[in-house]
Amino acid sequence: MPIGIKSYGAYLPKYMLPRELIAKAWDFPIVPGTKAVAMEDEDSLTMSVEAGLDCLEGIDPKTVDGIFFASTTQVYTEKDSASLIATILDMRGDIITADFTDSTKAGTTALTRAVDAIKANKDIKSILVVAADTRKPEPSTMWEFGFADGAAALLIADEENIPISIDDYYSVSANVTGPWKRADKDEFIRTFEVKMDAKFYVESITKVMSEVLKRNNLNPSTDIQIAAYYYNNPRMHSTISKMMKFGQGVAQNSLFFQVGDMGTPMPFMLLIASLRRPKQDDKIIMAGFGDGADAILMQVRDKDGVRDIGKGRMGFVGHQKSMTLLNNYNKFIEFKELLEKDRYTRKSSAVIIWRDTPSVYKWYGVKCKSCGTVQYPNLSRACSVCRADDQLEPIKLAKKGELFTFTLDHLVGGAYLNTPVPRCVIDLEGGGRVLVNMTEIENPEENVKIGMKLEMTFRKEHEGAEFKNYYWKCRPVRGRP
Amino acid sequence: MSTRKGETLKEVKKMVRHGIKDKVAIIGCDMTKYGERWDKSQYDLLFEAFQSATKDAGIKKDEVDASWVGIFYYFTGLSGAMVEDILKLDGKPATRVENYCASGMDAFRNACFAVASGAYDVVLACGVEKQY
Repeated sequence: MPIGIKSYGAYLPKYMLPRELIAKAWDFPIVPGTKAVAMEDEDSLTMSVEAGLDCLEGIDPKTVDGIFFASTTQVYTEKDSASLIATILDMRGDIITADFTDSTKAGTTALTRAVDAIKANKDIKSILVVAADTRKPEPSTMWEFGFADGAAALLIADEENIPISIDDYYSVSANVTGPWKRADKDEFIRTFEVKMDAKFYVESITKVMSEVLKRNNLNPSTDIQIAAYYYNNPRMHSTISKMMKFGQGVAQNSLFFQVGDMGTPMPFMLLIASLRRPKQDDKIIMAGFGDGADAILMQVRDKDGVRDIGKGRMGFVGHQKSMTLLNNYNKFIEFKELLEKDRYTRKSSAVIIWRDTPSVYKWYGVKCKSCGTVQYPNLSRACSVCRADDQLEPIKLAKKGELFTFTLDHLVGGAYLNTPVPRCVIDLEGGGRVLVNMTEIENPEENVKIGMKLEMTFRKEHEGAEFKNYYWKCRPVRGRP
Repeated sequence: MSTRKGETLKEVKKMVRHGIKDKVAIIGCDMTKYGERWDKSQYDLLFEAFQSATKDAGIKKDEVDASWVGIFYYFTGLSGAMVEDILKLDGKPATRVENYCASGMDAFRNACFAVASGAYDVVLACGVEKQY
């Protein structure tokens, strides 16, 4: 059976920062376009959850046999992110997991390793590959114009009628002298010389793509219909397209201007963005770069299948449509936690995190066998409504609902960031009444209204006990199916 | 109580004569298993003790008129409502007692006086603590 892409998903944060605000802040020449900016309660892990949910829409997470997480901004250097994402996505325990880190090509590398794992092990039929980055740019540098936040996920599977087959891949390795970020010292990315960085980039990316085309006897000008290769500079992008002799419109170019340089998920995002109008038998080349490069050769095997994936999820377009402009540079600095502030530290407990995993991470409530009421959290063994003892069974809660009531909290944890925070009581679709904070809301005094439709989103809640404590929040609808 | 010198002791002696001997009985009791029970929350422990105590007494939970709970640490909860929330003794008065290590004993003492006063027939006295 062919190995290929069974499903895809993407995540773009709510806000886009116009680059002219950066230029204005530092008296720099204006660079056109906008870039995607994650909020202060988001990181690579929460964005991966969003992309994973988007990718697994309509697919039972218990049927997936593994998860690979790729990022240069993993939230821990010792602690697996893939396992936590798998838990939140409610995947099985007997799966393979791995984190691919330290290079912007980690996404394409994870994808090729997923293909290998599926080929080599008959028990592994599908692996979710999710890539995310939230690189923090040093203010008043050129990185600030580029670095953007986002996540993308591809479900790699070995099955009949795969919509996009993965036919071949090729990789090269190179010791690139920049950029880098020292694990023990640096908060920001550094480099010696951007022109030197560009030389390494051009060499690796053209070599890896040329080789994979050559060994499959493909002519770049006529045989390739979609080229999704990593770039961090629009000028460089067209240079590569010319050097490779790709046909007109083959290389996806508009992403940098719209959402910026996302790092690790960039090749996936370019691919997803270019799958809007797939043609039967279109040949696709995707490439990632960072201390070497990977190129992956794919083909559209079932254009209706590809279109169906697009219809059932937000993907790139759905997220992009629901983004709004961030008209304030200071807010961007605050989102990136580049502003020094005293932050209130809350408590946390390993035992409680472990005990509450089903309700806190996997979003399970309980349903009473006696009266049918769905309830959350399941603190008690007695039903809240009919009071029957020991009649509660676990039930997966919906990630959509409407606002039942709320209050506006101006003091949240003493952070005074994005206040007031709406503390919301939500009635979920299919039952369950939950208490969560609202995120992605502007002017809550005017915009929070009883009865408004809401979606659940997985976010950073606080860093009590010097640990990343995540939980669900709600947000105004962005259109998740 | 009088504050005049010499009167206080007399008053106390009079109070002792208002004892509640033979007015209140323990009709059922139980306690949870001891151990490092990471898989159980304070709510689970309270439920477990309550369920077996009612079973021991041979009564239903609806027959309980009011409850007193001894809790010291804030990890566990800071209100009597915790008992009502967990055991679903809907609408019944629930009081939290905090008196350091004597919190549980004091919950019991107050529960006894409530029955002795004639205000209630059957009450629950319990204590629960879990620090994580």
